[in-house]
Amino acid sequence: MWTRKAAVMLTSGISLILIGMMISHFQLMIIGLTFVAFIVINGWVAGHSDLEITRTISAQNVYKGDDILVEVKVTNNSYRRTQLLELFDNVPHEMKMRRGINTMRLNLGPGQSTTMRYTVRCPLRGHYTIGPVSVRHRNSFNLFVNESLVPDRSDITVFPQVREVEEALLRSNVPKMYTGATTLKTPGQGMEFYSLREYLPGDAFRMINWKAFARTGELMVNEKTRDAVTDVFIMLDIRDVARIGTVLKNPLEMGTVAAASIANYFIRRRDSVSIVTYGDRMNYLSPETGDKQYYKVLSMLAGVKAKGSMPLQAVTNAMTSRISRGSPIFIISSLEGDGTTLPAIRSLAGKGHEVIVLSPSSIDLERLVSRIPRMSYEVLKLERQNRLTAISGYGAKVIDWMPDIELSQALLQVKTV
Amino acid sequence: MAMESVPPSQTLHLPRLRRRWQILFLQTLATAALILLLFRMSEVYGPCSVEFVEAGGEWCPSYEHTRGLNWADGAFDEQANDDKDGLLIPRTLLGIDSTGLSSQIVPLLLCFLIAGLWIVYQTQNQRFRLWAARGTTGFIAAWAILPFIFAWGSSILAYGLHLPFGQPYDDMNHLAILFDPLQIAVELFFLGIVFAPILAGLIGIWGLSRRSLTWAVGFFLMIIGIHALLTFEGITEAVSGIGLQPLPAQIGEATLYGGLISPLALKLLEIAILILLFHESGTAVIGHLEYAVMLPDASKSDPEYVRQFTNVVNSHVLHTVAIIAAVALTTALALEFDGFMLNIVAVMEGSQWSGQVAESLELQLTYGKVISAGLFLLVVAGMRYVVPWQRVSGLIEAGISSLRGSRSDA
Repeated sequence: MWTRKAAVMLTSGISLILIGMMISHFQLMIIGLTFVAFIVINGWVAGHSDLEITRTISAQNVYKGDDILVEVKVTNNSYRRTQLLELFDNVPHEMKMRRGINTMRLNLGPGQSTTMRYTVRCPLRGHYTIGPVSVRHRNSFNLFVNESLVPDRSDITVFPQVREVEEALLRSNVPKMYTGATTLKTPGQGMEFYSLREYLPGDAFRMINWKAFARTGELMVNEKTRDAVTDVFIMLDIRDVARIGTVLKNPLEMGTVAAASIANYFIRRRDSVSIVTYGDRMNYLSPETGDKQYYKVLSMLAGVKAKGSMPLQAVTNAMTSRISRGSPIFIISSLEGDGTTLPAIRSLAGKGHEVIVLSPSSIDLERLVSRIPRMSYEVLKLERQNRLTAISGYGAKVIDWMPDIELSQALLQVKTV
Repeated sequence: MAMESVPPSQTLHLPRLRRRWQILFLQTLATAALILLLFRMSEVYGPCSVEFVEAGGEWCPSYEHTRGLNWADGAFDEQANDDKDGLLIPRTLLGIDSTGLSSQIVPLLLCFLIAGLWIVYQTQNQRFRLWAARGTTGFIAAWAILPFIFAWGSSILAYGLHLPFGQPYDDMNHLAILFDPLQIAVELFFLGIVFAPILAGLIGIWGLSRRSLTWAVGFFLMIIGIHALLTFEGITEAVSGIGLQPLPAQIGEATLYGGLISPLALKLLEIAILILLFHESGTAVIGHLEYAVMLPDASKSDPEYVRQFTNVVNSHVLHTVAIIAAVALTTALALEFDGFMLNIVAVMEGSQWSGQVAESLELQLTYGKVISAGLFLLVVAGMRYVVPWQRVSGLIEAGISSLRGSRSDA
């Protein structure tokens, strides 16, 4: 493709030749011819695209705020010099360049290679893609440009940050009924040894106790005790109202951090954790424990976006049959714009669940981005306090989470009537 | 994975880059092209026509400064032919008493000095620049007004209150003092016709200003354009006494370099090539330094970035020399392509067609020359699809690299 400079030069060259011919001025003609010859000769020096580009990244899954080192290796596989190449690795605008830069000018001889290195920080959770790589062949004198895309992409998942909340949950007024996995003296899919029994068809080979087989001459299998775990339910509000505040500080971001941290705490205690998000629709992750479940929870939280206006009661109604009896329920919501909050919580508390409401203060978050008159602020704050007090009155533990308070500190502020 | 870094002397920081031989080479090349352009332009577009000079004409709008300054000297000198100098700027600085190229040496050095001062001024902090600008403005204002006020004040003390003009005695008419700045402006105008593009070019090359480079090239093209217009037959017939010396109507026989080019064509081609060389070398430096400045500190010290930057500028230096030389050769060949075609046609002498072609090429002169040159350029442009020179040069380069590799292994 011709650049603007080449087009201007050709036009000027032809114009000078024509004007020179009209007024019989050799200098104008020769300058015009020189301009055209300059373009013609430069046309001989062309770039090419026989490049091998590979990208390696230091991690595919990171937590919010972590850095990723990206290395892009370019190799010229042809028998021609690349001439001037401009490389640009497309990085999502949400990521911030920490070290180095995602662009490079290079000129590789046949078989030569080079590596572009840079580090990006991921300040926002989500699913992102680095790439493709844009390659621009440019003539030395900027007369011809040829752009192409190398479709090499790297997917990155940025999980919400996970805070340490163990001490806070132990010291807080949150009920200590969740004791983690406890063993029951009945056989099942647990961890501890229960007894030996004879092999039955269908038993897994890994259950066979080979020492007992050697000793007795009969196939014997190990039986384990059954683990009993508590199912912890986390309901996260991802409605459109959850975007109030700044990009980095809003009920949704605070909620994802809280949900990830609470899930981490209980999964480490070998409890089963279930997560439900509700915005334009409800997403449900059934209760499980272990690293796989932890990864599923983080992946789910990484992808949530604020949209929709599903009421909490619709969620609790749909979930009633799935929530085990007596399971504690964490509701993480700003409680704004939902008239069904009170009946939903009353219903859950009435069924014997321990309900803990962690509510990011959306009024204070809104103050971060817009000026609210003092009187209006006081009134709104009073309304919110009344709402929280009403919820507390139904037996729920309520935490009013201010934007400048850390999660662990917020969890210590459980309020009960 | 920690990033490596090169020694501080090799990083891509601006102060170090400005001392790199490739950058200095391009800047020196651009400067040399600019100075040669001044000399060549003066040679071709400097003289007035012989008839005009013989008729006693003082100044013609040519690319030359001494004639204009001489005219100003005469015009401002109150008593002609006395010892008093009519110019405010010292004659040594103007080169007015010299002839030919020597008349340009001192103003050229002055241009270097002013460009240097300008670059120093540009690199100072905001506060210094503010005070320097205020100081200069104050000095000029004081120089323009204070002598008049002092002269008038002292005259009032001596002769009583009076207006500074329309008085019967010269000692009481001070208004003429206010016209000194105007005289300076006139002198600078004549000097600027020749040296303004040189000053702008130097500021562009060493002060890294793309605008100044473009301005300088534009000025040169404007000079050539004005010359072309004012020497056009239609204009000279309508307006007599302009006095510019027109270029010869014929480009002449190719007698130089084994019949490659005619002396006049060589001069004109030199001007075109020097304009190209000056502009491309100057802008290349700015482009490379802009890229380096844009890089963050970590990349400026990254060995890969440094190596590739060196590759890019080396390649640019090579391209500048090779391509500009190839352009000069191609244009010279293109200008003589009509002769080549005439020779071919002469071989086929006898046919009606060959006779017509030969006649049209010879009779139409400039048209035939330019059309055949265009045809030649078209052929050269098409040849790139036939000659795989990049592949061949790549193979040679790969061979050299592998030889070096095996030698170092041994």
